[in-house]
Amino acid sequence: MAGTIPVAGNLSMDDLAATLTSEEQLGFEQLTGLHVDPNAVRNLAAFIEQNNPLGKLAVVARGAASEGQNIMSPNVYISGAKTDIDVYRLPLA
Amino acid sequence: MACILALASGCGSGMAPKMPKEIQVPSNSLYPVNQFNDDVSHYRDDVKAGTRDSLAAALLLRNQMAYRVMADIESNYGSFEMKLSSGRAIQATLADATSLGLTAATTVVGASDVKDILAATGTAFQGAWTSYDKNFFQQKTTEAIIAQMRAARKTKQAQLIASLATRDVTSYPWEATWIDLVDFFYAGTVPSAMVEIASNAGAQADKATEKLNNTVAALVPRTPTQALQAVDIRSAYTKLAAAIAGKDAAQVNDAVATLHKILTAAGYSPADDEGGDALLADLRKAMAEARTDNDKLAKLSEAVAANMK
Repeated sequence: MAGTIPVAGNLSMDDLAATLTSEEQLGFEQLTGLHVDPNAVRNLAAFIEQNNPLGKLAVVARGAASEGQNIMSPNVYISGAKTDIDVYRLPLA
Repeated sequence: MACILALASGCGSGMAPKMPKEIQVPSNSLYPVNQFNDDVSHYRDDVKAGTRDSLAAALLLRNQMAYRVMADIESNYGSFEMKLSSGRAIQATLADATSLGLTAATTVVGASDVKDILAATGTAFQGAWTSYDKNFFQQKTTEAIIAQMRAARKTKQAQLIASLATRDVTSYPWEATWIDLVDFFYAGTVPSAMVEIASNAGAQADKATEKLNNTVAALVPRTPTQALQAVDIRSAYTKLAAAIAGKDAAQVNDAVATLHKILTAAGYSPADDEGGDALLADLRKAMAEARTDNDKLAKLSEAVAANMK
């Protein structure tokens, strides 16, 4: 189901990464955008269809080290507070 | 506005329950022109600054402005549709349609030139209405017109929400947002509905509603353990799909047998004679169901782990 889908704003970074990864893997999609929802304490994730397998996603605080490739650096709700993060695409296992 | 909302509340009409005061004059709606102009000015300053932070601020401001304008249009449309449904004098309703709509649009229009464009458009609509044959309009049911307006509005709204969420201020600046907001507004007018009305208006509304629902349905929160399960399932799908697409008959047969076992263990009932492609489609369907169901995800994960070599 490619499109824009809300994501809870109270998730930790690990759970946000897990939620986005699960959607990508089970829905045959690829994350292309992540923003705060201006009308609610939640985030909005955008996906496109992707039939090629992708590595997991990792979410870390802005500037923190991570393996993989940095694919976006949005400001989103983490545990209910707006936070600068980096989103990384980890290599395929 | 208060009068319009009072009418929409259905006082004494029996068309709707009495509207709560909080909804009649919502504090988060009614976007004042001066505030709108200030926001546009700040937005332009942020875009002009061009730094990462200022562009992020501009994006936030663009979205806030868009949602506030959308709320105003939504509020006016609700009143308008109620009036149309109530079977009041058709010509009077038609006359109100443009003025109601233009009120919503011109409330938020800062630049005089845009106002002029909207006013001119409104004049054109009024002229067009008087030229419509009264009987022609009356042959179309009010319900069909409303269904068409709803379908068009939901389609436009879904596009707007998706664009606001996925596109930055470079690819989707405020000016483009404004164009889409005006389109969204006019999608909820009788002339627009009459132009676009078709025999399948009801089906269009259902399809547009489904699209809007898909756009706003929230993701199920997942843990890192569940994400690993999803990765393993997807990895299994990829391996099985590759085997079935290959030319090695033994591998194809193995993959078909494995898919059968996985699907059966996960609670599905594939037919004995199902081919590889059909079984892959079944697995994909099971994965889609696991997207929103933790129990199905766990069961599918167990089935994959037990049957993949």
